[in-house]
Amino acid sequence: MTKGDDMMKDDDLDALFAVARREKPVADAAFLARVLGDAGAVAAERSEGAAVYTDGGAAQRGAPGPVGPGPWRLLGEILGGWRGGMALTASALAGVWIGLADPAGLDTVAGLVGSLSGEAVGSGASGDTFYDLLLEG
Amino acid sequence: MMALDDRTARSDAQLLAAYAGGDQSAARELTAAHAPRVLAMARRLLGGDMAEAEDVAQEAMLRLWKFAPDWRAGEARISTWLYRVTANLCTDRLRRRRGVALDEAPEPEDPAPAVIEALERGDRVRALEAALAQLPDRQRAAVVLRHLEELSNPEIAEALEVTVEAVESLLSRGRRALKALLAPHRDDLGVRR
Repeated sequence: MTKGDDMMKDDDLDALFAVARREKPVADAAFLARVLGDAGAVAAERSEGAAVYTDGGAAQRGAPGPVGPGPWRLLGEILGGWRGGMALTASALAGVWIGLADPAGLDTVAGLVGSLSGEAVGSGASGDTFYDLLLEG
Repeated sequence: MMALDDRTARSDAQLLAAYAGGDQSAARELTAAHAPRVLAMARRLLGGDMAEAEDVAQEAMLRLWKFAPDWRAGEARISTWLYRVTANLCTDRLRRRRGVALDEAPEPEDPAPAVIEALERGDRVRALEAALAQLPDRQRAAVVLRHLEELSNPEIAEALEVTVEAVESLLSRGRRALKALLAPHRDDLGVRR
């Protein structure tokens, strides 16, 4: 007997593979339930951090109507609601005014900020302007 | 030749996008389509250990669920991605099981007792699986994906992250080793002389 006679032929091996292919392992219900449980848990976890929609298949990521607070609303809450937002806007306008306009108008801007924010804001009893303070060092 | 069934990559990607959007029915469809095949592959790569294969298959599917929002359609097939994840998870398990590095795994020399035991029970498929278990990890993965899962060589290359030439080499060496392992048992395997 030659060495070649001792070897298994390719066709024989392929026939064995064919038998093995016909034998499919059965995924039992408990295994499939665990896999689906993971899918549900991951989806639930994701929905805690972002808006997730469950409309039975038509859902698309990025659809309108976020569940959580939007970025503008969140920013507003941080800045103290609409009153805080108006005060901030007035302050920003005052900054622009200071940079562009005659310093003599500063008291007017300060008064505007104070009235919007509901607080007493003044430039000081002495009437010093921002420029005066700057020149004094 | 389709690697999985008649599903298209596009429909899988659409299902995954729907799942990422909160549609659990899409998760059920994806599970039915892929989990059994992932489980079968894991069981073959792990030498027939069904409990460990279930752990691996569950982990592979879990990674798919987590990756769903970032999946970009058209870049890869979900089936191939799952095969790659499963192959890597199985390799990690086998490494831990042996406690040696992959490249240090010895080449098979003698038929394992498991082959003989399976043949004594008249179980040719278990004998083949026992012989497969004697192959180095990447040879076994290539042979399983090619001859049992019926992937094409380019698909195997993508799943194993190697070149097509490397796949051809792995298959050649794997088949040669399998024939050497099983040759002494040709009569019991029902193979003609």
